[in-house]
Amino acid sequence: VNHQQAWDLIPWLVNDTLESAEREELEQHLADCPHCRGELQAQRALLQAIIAGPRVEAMPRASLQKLWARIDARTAPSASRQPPGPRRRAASSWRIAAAAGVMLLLVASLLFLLLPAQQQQTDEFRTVTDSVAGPAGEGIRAVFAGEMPLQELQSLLERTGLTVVAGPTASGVFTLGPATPAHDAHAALPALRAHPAVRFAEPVGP
Amino acid sequence: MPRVSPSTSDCQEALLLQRIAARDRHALEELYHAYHRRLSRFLLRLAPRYDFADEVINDTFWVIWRKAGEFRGASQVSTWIMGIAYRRALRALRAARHEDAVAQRLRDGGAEDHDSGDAVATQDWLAQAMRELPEEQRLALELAYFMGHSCEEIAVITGCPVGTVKARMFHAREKLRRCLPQLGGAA
Repeated sequence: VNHQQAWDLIPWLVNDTLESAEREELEQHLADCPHCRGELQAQRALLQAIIAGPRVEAMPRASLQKLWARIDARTAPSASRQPPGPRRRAASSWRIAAAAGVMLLLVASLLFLLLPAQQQQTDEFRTVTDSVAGPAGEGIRAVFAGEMPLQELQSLLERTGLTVVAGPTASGVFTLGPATPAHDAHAALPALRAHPAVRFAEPVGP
Repeated sequence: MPRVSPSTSDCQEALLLQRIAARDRHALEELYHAYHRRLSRFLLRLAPRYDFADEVINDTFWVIWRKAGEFRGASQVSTWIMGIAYRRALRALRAARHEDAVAQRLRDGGAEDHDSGDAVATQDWLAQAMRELPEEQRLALELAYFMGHSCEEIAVITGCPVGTVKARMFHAREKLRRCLPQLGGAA
């Protein structure tokens, strides 16, 4: 290497990232060039001063929560549109209720899929048997297998006449209620429990 | 020195990116924790403000969340991530430059002289000289000396030819030359 090339290589000898061939050539040049040797010493001093500088550490936890808030706000825009706005009352009310239920289920399932592990540390700790402030009347608290496909969950709820009333909580607990007043939520328990992807299903309330 | 990870961890990080592309939140958290310390130390050197470091790190991971599926292994994962952080940091530094210049002038009005010659004053003097470098030159120097990246890696991170990286380092070294006699004592 000539003098200029050697000069340009010095920082990478200093931070120890030179390939061995380049390193050898540079070392040969350094042996004959006091000017480059002086620069090598100066750059070593500069690197030492830089890495000896004040080190301030940031804590990742709070920053990560901000990141999740941002991701959730931008990747699940449908969630922010809940509840649906007022609609014309022309259609029969239970159809609207069913449609809203499906929407809610979709959003709830999406949240369930996207549920951050982090939240489990920050959310109030709650077990599946604790009582939660939920809608009045009968209901079921249920936990589904994480790998259960959304469509399967939907069809199970349709078959059993249930809809998602609340949840999932940080620990994945859904509160289910009757899809229409004509349905009996507690009567759906056996069918629910028989499903292989239902990890837990218990009646809530009185 | 936080040197570039060996290839085994690069493979693991590439797998994390695949999981992130499939919207695996645990994978994003794992990568976040692996990089937060490294990135925050780097960014807090550039601007000692937590809000700046926070903003750049989260901007970087917001891009990673959206673009993880586009990583094709053309570089190491760490180089790819540093490249995203570099562009975000450069943009934030440029945006803050005017604001900082005004603040600096205000500070200079009532500044105390650090002429005692002790280690703290030397650090202040170096920090001041580093702040006066153009952003690209300063970032090249920090990437090389603080982060320990090779010239070729810095070329990938900054999206520049190797010759440009060498030129930026050359100019940064020239401008910092007036600090060197003092630093010589610290060597």
